[in-house]
Amino acid sequence: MKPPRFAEVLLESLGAEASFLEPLLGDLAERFALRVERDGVGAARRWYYRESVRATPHLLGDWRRSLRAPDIRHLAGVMLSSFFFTMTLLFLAAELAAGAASAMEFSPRALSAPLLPALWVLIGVTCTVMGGYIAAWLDRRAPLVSAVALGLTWSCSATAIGGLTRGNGALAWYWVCAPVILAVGPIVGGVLRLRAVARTGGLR
Amino acid sequence: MANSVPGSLELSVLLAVARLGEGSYGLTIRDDVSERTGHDYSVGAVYTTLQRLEEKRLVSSRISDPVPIRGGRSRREFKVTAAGDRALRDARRVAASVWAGVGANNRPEPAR
Repeated sequence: MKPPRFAEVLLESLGAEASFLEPLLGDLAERFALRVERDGVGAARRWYYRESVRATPHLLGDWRRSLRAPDIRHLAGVMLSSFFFTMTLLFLAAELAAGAASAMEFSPRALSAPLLPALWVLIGVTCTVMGGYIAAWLDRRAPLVSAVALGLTWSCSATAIGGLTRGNGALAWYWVCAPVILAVGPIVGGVLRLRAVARTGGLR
Repeated sequence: MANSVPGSLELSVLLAVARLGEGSYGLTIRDDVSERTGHDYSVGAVYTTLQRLEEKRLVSSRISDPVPIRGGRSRREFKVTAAGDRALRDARRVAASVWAGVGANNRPEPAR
């Protein structure tokens, strides 16, 4: 009986060095096998997820300790690439939607008041999830760290822009929703990428 | 040398490695420390501590052959180095020194 693959991939995605990660994953797998015999599969899986959460800060600590200048450059490159990748896809989708709307002689202004913000939120969520997915796809060493870093960067930028422009006439909900969506979306995208990785094998 | 002085958890982990001898690894060390301190440490916390001890050269490690029950992963086995031995002797001496003169009821021991 093997430990939950998704939890293992999540732990692998935090960028810890192999010398730290591999013995830790081995220890968890060894204890998981004992717990399956003693407590059953369900309890052993719950135990594994709980231990994974407890191991997370230590794996992140190891990633931070082993961080060197090339790793930081790589992380910045991944974030920039995923940003431009997402913007390009968004631009193409907007062009397609505009083309379709014009062919159907439909104006977005015709949308009722609650529909238009909902449309913006939907576009925002899709783009940010896609951005996180792309960041996790581009970074093989620490995919989840890249997705989280992207989310935090986007969220902080949106908050800073909102603060500097004092909202610039936008509605209050936008300045509340935008940083949350920008922070959470990429993390969800990163996790979705890791689910796909867990189904097909693993990161390492 | 102040950097090589083990902290509280470091000392517990170093003592566990000394007690378990060669072949001790993350799980056995965690179990030993948790049992003796009554605190349920995570495997991650134990490995972080072992890494610090290794940086201070108080323990050394070797990678074992892959073990099937671990999903084919190896064990990282630890042992106390000569510097670790010295640190343990110092810790024992300091502990004995700071406890000297304090009775079982945590009051001053009567002078003999």
